[in-house]
Amino acid sequence: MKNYLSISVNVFVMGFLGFLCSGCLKDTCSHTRTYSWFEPLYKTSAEVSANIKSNPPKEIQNPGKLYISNGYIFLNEIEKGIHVIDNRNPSSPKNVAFIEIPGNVDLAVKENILYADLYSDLVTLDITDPLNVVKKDIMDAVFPDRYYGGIYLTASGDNIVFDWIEHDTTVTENCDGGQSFLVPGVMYSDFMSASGIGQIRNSTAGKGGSMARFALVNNYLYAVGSSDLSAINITNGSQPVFSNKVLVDWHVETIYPFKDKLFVGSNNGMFIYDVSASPENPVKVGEFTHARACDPVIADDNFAYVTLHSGTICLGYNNELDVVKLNGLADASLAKTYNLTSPQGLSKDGNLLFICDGTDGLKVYNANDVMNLQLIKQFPDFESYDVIAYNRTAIVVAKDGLYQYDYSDPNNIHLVSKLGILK
Amino acid sequence: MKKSCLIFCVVACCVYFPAKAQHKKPGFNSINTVGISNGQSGAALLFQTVNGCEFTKWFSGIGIGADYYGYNSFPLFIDVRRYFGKISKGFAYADLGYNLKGKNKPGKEINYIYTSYHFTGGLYTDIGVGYKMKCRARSSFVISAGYSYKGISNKLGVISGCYTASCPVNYSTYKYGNGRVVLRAGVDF
Repeated sequence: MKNYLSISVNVFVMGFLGFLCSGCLKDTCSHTRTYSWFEPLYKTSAEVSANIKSNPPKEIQNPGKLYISNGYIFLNEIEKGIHVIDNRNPSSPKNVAFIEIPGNVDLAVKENILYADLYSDLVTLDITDPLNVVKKDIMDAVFPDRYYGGIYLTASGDNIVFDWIEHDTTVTENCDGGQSFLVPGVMYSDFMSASGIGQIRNSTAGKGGSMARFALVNNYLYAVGSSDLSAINITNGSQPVFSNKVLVDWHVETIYPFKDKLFVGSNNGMFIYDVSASPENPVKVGEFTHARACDPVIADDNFAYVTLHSGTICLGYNNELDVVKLNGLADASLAKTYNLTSPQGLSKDGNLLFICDGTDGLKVYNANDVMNLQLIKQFPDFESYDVIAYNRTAIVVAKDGLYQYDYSDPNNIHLVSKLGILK
Repeated sequence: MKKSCLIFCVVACCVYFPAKAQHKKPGFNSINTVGISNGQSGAALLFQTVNGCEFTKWFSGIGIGADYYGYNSFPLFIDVRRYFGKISKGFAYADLGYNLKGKNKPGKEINYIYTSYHFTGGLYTDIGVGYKMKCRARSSFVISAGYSYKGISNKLGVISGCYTASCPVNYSTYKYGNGRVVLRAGVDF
């Protein structure tokens, strides 16, 4: 028995000593990440300015927002410029020109004037002849807090990033080293050294989509930044004049004009601004808050339609259409929620409501009774992003192309053309 | 290569020793222990059951446990032990297997917003010495002390900045290795 006890004691003494030494044992943690870093390519502001014109058409590669005006589609190529597409015959659209505007993501058209952002600047173009676009003006630093693609870009300096060279790399390192740079994804090199922090640039209305950040109401162009709403007087269309800026909310994404109201969509809700009394000083008259998500918004006389989707930088987990009753604006309230897959851009023409539902494609609803939307047609098998329904043609921006549907007969909505995207 | 050799040795032991002891009547044993592990991440509970056959001085079996050190996991392993002595026996043991993932969330070493995570298991090993004391006709009290290592990894997804369509997701992998001292006590019946 003594022997057993002796051995037991020995084992536990060993264990105890082991426990004392456990401080010598180190856990290991290694972190392997693959990321792309982008090396900027610069042009001088003079070179960029000289190239803002109708250049030969380019293949559509990464389409963004669009505007339609006078039979033409102006389609943003994200961060690169604007494709000019002759759509006078929707069954046979033609890509006829490309306007090079580095850093461009937003645009708006009024009569023969196109407004576009060039990083933080506002470019004004005369598009009377879309094949011979003429630059009229560049207004500096209109959007000083321009935010896109995960980085803030501010104005000033003489060099403008016009393109990026992508480098892919994989690194493995200890978890306790350089935490601030451990986030996988994208890194933009050279900003700090070459141009200061984010020093990139010195950078009858058409109809825009629900993802737009520009909106036109009468003689004003309204543009939302990440947290503000700017009013720009365009009484003299080719010489815009900055008027005022009001704070809205954090994480503002979209703006949609309806009559004399502006519907501003943010991560946290929809805000309604009235511009009838004082166009240069929009006044908030109502709001509707919702769970955090990206939320394009459109509106009509009685209701606003807000789509919430997850899976983007806006975070959030909701994928739904919220129909908001406008009750005289001041107390807008949720009327009904419809669950969807990943709804993004939407458009309404009459009683037809078009919703881009991510990988579910385009859905068309009869919205005669908004409390009981009826799906009348779905075009699946492509990933849609934004839609403009106007004059019996729905133009859909999708991951693989620009689709056009004829909805003159709601019972026979059909594809009339597709303009492919270079992969 | 080292891992392969080790796995080969353990498998060889499992096959060889039972074969060698075929002339003896093999006895089924179930060794169930509660333990504690201690290392850089602090102390944590361990539960383990090993079931197999004992032949003279050798035991081999298959074990599974619940391991709450670091990220939770369920080690599934082959256990081989060599006894010394007659009625009450000292022993040395070695375990080798796979550390199955448990239910976990990324820890504080992840200091940024992620959109998805997926844990996967890794290598599990444990070596040590112990003592088995007979307390009833067919049951014994078992204590042991040893060193254990477990690996686990986590693939994190982060959505890259974009507002349009489905944003691309970037992934990175964290690999964790936990070496710690383990103490166990339990019954063998």
